[in-house]
Amino acid sequence: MFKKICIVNGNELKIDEMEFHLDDLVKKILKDKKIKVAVAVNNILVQKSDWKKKKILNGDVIEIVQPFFGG
Amino acid sequence: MEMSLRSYSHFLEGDVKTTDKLKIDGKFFNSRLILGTALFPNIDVLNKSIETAESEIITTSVRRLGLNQKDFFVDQIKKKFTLLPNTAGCYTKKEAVLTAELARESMNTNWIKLELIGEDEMLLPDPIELYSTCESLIKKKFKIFCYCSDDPMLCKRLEDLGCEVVMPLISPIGSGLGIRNEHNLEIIRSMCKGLIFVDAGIGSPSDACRIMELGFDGVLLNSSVARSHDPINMAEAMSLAVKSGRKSFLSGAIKKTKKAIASTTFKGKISNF
Repeated sequence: MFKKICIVNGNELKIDEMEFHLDDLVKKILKDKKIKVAVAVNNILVQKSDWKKKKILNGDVIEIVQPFFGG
Repeated sequence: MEMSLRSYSHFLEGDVKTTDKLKIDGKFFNSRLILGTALFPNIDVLNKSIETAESEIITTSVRRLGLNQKDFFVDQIKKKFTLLPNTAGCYTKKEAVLTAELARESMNTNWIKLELIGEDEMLLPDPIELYSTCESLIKKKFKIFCYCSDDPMLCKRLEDLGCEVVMPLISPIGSGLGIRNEHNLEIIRSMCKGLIFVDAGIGSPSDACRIMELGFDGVLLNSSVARSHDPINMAEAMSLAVKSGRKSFLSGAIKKTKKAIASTTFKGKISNF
């Protein structure tokens, strides 16, 4: 039984840990890639300096974005 | 309404007038052509096109990270450029403000090319939502490059509000229809004293050249290069057009007259017979 389920970039993500922070999630997704990303939780920007203390809650909708091609 | 350096010399201040560098937010640039990075056939063509365009500022978007993504935009662009992130695809103030904040966080820049679309057929900017969004973003210390319609009063109001660059369209995004209302562009240039670019609608280099001849400070384009048969050459053509138009503007074109004015003197000509 998963402790919580959140939506990351439109995909459902099941989380087993009780204490799971945004910093853990970004590390899990980026792995060793050195790419600068920005994150919003429930449509509110969370600055990088706050990732460690931002606890992920059941039902959170998380957007992790990057610079991309654009006109 | 004649456009010439004589009538618009107040736009060119001090050292900028001498060297003709473009000054945005305290930074100087040689190129007056901002190039978009979307729709190129491949990354190699994009990199070569930026090179031939001689652009120093390129636009980007903010998009979701693919959970299994391997290639990243920032790694694929060969050189370092000044990035101008956009809010493409945003329909509401809420969306645009969050997108701008995400852009600032991921690209380390206060610059934002604000696009706020009101409908999805012509992709026309929604002036009411746009103005209100500008107010919010300025309070949040963003430097706004504001994509807007070619309404002179709206452009003036956006400039007065504090937008860094006001960027009216000349025709719908990606249409390539070129200049549809040159008189409006003349009015906009005469009413706005700050930086005015044209963004959207450029089809061919002659459009870019004409815009610069009218005294605009620069041109932002993407589709006309990226979707051309030969983007690398077209990028160079656009660069030459922007430079040509700028030089023409600075040189002060002659006044148009309804009658001929002979260039070769009649003095010394043999007798008429």
